[in-house]
Amino acid sequence: MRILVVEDEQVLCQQIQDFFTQKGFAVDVAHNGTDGLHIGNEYPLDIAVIDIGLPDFSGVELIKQLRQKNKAFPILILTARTRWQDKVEGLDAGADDYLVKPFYFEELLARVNALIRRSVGNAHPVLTCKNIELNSVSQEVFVDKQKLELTAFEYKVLEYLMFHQGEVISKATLTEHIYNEDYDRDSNVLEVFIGRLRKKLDPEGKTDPIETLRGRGYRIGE
Amino acid sequence: MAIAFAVMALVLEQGFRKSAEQALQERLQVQIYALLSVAELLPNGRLKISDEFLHEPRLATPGSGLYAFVHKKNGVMIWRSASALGLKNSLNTDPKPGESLFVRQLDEPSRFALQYDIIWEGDSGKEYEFIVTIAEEARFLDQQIETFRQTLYYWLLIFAVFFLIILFAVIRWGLRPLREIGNDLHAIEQGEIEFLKGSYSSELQLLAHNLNGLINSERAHLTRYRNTLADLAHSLKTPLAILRGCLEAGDKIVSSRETIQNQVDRMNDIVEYQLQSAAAKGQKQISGRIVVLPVLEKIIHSLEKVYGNKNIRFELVIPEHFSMCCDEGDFYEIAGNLLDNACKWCKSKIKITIPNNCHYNYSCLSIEDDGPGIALENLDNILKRGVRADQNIDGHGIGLAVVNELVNLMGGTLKGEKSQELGGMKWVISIEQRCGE
Repeated sequence: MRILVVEDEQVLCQQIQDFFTQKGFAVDVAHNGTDGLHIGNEYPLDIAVIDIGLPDFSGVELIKQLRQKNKAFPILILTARTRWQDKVEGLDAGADDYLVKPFYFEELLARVNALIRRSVGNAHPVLTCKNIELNSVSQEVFVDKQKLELTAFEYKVLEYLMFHQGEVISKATLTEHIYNEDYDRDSNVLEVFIGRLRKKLDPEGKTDPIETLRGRGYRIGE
Repeated sequence: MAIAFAVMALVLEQGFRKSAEQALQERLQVQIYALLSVAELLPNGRLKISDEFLHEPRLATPGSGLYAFVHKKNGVMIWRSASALGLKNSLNTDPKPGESLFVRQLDEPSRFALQYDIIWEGDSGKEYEFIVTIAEEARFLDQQIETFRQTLYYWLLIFAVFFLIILFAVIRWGLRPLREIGNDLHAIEQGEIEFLKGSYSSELQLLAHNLNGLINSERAHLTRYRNTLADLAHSLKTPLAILRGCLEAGDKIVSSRETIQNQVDRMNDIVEYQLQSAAAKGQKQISGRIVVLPVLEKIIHSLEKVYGNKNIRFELVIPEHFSMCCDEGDFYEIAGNLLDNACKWCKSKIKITIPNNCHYNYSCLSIEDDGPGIALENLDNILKRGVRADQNIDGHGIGLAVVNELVNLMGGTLKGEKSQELGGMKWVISIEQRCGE
C-alpha cells in the first residue's frame, strides 16, 4: 500500500516514514502543504497521514484542496490540538479519522489499516480468497491453514490484489501502489514477484489463484 | 447648535423685514390718500396739485427721499413733487383701477414705491385714469433692517455663549458619574481597589454590576490559567525525576523502558488535562447561550466517520431551538467527550435526549449508550483525572474528568447512572437556565 505522510517536524516525519516502511508500506513524504498537495494530486495513494500544523498552509486547507480535486483516498489527521472544535473542523474538511499527538505508532498503524480496509469495503482485517487467508494486521498469510513465508514485496503485491479482489489491476497500477516516488523501479521485477507468488500459493499448479489477463493486468478471486 | 442659531437669526431678520415693508406700504398708502385729498381735476382732464397744500413737508423738499408722481394711463408723467425734481419714475406693470402695487424700484436711487391706479370722474361725467406713485428711498428701510440685524446678532451671540456655558456645565455635571466609574476602573487597573464600589446613580448601577461581573470572570480566568500553569509545572516534576532516574540506572534497560513508557503516558495525561482545563471558559456570566442541536449534529457526523466500522445508530431527540447557557467551545468539549466515550463503549446505539426529570431552573441533556456501563462504585473515581475504567480503551478518564470540571465551573452537575432504556451508561448534564446570574 502506498501512503503519503505530510509532517513538517523532520524527526517525527522520519520516525513515521521508517515505521511504515518497516510495516511494508511504500511511503511518500512531504514537509509542507504545497509538496503534499503535489504528491496527493500526482500519485495514486491508498491513504494519507496529514499533520494539521504545516508551515505554508494548514493541514485542514490541504485536505479541502485534495477533496476538491476529487481525491477520495482516506485521510487521517495528526494534531496536537485536543479541542473538539478543532477535531470537528478537520473531519468536516474531509478527513476520515484523527489522532492526537503524542500517539502510539501501533495505534497509528491500526487506524491506517482500518481506514484502508474501510475504503475498499472490507471492515474485517482478515481477507480470504479461496484457500488463501491474509491477515492485514499481523501481515500473515495462510494457504489451507498453513502459514506461508513471503518476502516484503511479495506480501505487498498479494495484499494489494486481495484488497481489490475481482478487479483487474494493471502492472502500472500495481507498481504505483507498492513503490514510493523515489524507488528505482523495474517493471520486470513485478513479473518475477507474481511468478514467485504463484509458486508459493499453488505449488502444484491446481488452483491458479492469480489470473493474468494479457495486455490488461492481474486479478485474484472471481 | 450653530446651525440652529443661524436659522433662527435668518427667520427673525426675514420676519422683521416683512413687517417693516408692510409698515412702509401702509405709510405710503396714507401718503397717496393725503395727496389725492389735495388734488383737483381740471376741466381739461389734468390733475392739479399745489405744493403749498401738501400735508407731507418732505414732498416739498428736494432730496428728502420721499417722492410723488402722477402718470396718465399711457405712462406720461403729468406731475411730480418738488422732492422728485430731476428724477424718473418707471411704471412696473399695468395695474387695474383701484389696485395698489408695492414694488422695489431699481432706479437710482433705489426706492420702494406704491403705485395706485385711480379713475377720476369729472363734472361732465367723463372718466380720467391716473396712476399715482409715492416712493421712499430704500436706504431708510435698509438702515432700519441693518440696525435690527446688528442688535439681533449681538444678543443672539450673547445668548449662544451663555447657553453653551450652561450646556457645558450641565453635561459636566451629568457625566460626573461616568467619570467616577472611569476613575474607579483606573484604580482597579492600578490595583488600588478590587471592584466598583461607588454609589453610582440608579441608571449606572446595572452597568457597574455587569462590569463587576466581567471583572470577576476575567480574574477567575486569569487565576485558572496561573493555577493550571503552576499545576502543570509541579505535576511534571515527578515524572521528570523518575525519567532522570531511569537515565542514571543505565543497566536496567528492560524495566527502564517500561518506566519511561509509563511516565511518558503520565506526562501526556497531565499536559492534556491541564490544556483542556485552562482553555475552558466555564464562567456562565459572559458565556451566552448556545443552540445545541447544530453542534451535536456536527460532532455526530465526525464520530460517524471515526467509528465507521461500528455502524453506530444515533438517535437525536432534541428540539430545534433548545439552548443551554454555555460557551460554544466548552459545549463542544462537553458533548464531544461524552459522545466519544459513548462511541467507544457502545455496541451500536446511542441516544441523546432531554431527560424528563430536569428541574425547571435547569437545562438538561442526557447521552446514553448500550455498552457495558460503569459500576456505580467506580463512578466517583472515573471523574477524577487519570483514572480509567478499562485500560484496554484509551482516553476514558481524561475526557470525563474534563467534562466534570467544565460543568462544575458553570455551577452545573454531571451525573452518571445506568440507562434504563439501552442498558449501558447514561450521563446527564444539568446547567442553570439563566445566564449571567
